[in-house]
Amino acid sequence: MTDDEMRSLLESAHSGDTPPPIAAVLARPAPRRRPWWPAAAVVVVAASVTALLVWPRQRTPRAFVAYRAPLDFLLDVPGTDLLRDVPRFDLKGTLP
Amino acid sequence: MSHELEPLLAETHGAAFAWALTCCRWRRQEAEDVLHAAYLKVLDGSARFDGRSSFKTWLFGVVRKTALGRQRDWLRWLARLDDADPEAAEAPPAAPNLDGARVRAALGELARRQREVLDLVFYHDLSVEEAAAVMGVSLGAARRHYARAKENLAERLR
Repeated sequence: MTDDEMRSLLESAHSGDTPPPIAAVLARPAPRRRPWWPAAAVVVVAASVTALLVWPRQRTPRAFVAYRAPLDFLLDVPGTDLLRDVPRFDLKGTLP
Repeated sequence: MSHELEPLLAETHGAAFAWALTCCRWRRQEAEDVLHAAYLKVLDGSARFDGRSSFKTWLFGVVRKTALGRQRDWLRWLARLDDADPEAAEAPPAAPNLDGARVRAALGELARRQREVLDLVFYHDLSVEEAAAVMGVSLGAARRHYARAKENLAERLR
């Protein structure tokens, strides 16, 4: 497509552009500004709801920590407290 | 309101309106709003003409920025969903002749910068360099948009 053809296409696209009088454009009332606080309220509510939904999931899952296998009791042999802790002796050197 | 730039605004008013229509995809009401806001910026001094380019190039840049600013306003976008503008619903609005409507539709399908560069170069008779200044892109980028826009428009009108 030549530049002249392109020019005539653009001319035809703009063929109906009758501008309003400049005085009418300048005399238009200033656009009414929408209040900002409804948008801010929506953002705050959305953030609060998101925080409420996300916050509990960030904690350690309670059910997993409380879980005990059915055969765990077999690991509780007598005297395991001696292996877990440092034994304490009284002044005579005997176990209290 | 008396202002030293008012005669220049009056001189370029027709071209500025045509450019505003392009920036707003031929939504007339929106184009008038954009032009009004751009003129206010010029007259109240929030947009200053420093003479580094021609007045027309500078004004087109102001109109373009104003149009982009309005389109980014998500509140306005939400409002548009509520009260559907019957004029905006026609995409694009009817032109007096069928060719014009077809060209507008094809232009409307192009990427924004491609549409802009074609309009600036072929309708407003700006150079690609001046178009780059209006669009706020480098000369190289403007040349790429220009080449792709010509190809894409020709393809759509084939």
